[in-house]
Amino acid sequence: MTLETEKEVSGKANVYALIGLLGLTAVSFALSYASLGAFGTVLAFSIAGVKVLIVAFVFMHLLEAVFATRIVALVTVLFIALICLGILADVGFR
Amino acid sequence: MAQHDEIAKKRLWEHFESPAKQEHAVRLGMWVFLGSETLLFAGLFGLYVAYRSEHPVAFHHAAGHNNLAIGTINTAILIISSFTIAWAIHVFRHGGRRISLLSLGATLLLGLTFVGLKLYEYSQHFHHGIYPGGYYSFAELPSRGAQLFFTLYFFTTGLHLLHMLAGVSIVGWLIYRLQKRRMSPDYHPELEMGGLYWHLVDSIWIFLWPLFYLAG
Repeated sequence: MTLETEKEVSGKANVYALIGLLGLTAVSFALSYASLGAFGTVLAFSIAGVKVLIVAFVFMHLLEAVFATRIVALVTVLFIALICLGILADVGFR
Repeated sequence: MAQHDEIAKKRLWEHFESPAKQEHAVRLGMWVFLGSETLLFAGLFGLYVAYRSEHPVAFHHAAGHNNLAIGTINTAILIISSFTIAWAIHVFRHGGRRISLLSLGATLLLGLTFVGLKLYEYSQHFHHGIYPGGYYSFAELPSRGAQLFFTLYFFTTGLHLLHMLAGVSIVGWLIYRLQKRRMSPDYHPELEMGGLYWHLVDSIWIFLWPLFYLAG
């Protein structure tokens, strides 16, 4: 059931999301064998971030969600960034 | 269709104007709940970052000891299960009850496979003397950093495993309700919310995989 203002995520979008997620997992796996040092970790987390965005927007229907739901998701991301930045600042300036 | 409308009307609380608005409120509440769950894991992620900055070499070696094959297979399992539950919701919205049931059944099987592989992995760790906290006795990696890594590993993946078990129970309950025709294509908030919960558990694992397996 969707509100009048919402658009439904199509079946095709779900299939493309699955292919994209499995493809990105394969890329992460392959990159783990390359000697990239600290850059490899940053890359792995960036890929994980992209994968979670795909899950959130397609599988979790954030694409079809109303504004209020999107705000909750955005605030969650901001709080996570705040927690991680706070801990990083504490460790970095000890 | 009339029967579907009847289910929606029967389950409408008096303070909501329509089933659609009621479901919107449920969805918003679910997202707030998922946000609070994410913050719980964010604290553990932050702890990982702090400990790793203090023991970078030990964390690298400890992550290298984890079974990358099992971690990767479990990642693929959760991604496919996220698709199957999303597919169950998509087809049920269009009246495909039987395919929806099959998709939920596949999600349940994939979830149980994940749990089985994770428990096998834990048993392998215990065999090597890898336990959390003061019980850690792995001779190959005796450093304090490795002990901290595996303590965090058990805490974080253990908490995730508890969420998986909750997710598997919810999917089992959804299969029961769908079989008993307690939901309709027009009104099935429990299926939509169960799906959201499952995707959250998948999303958390997507970050746990590079933290505990790829960092080696």
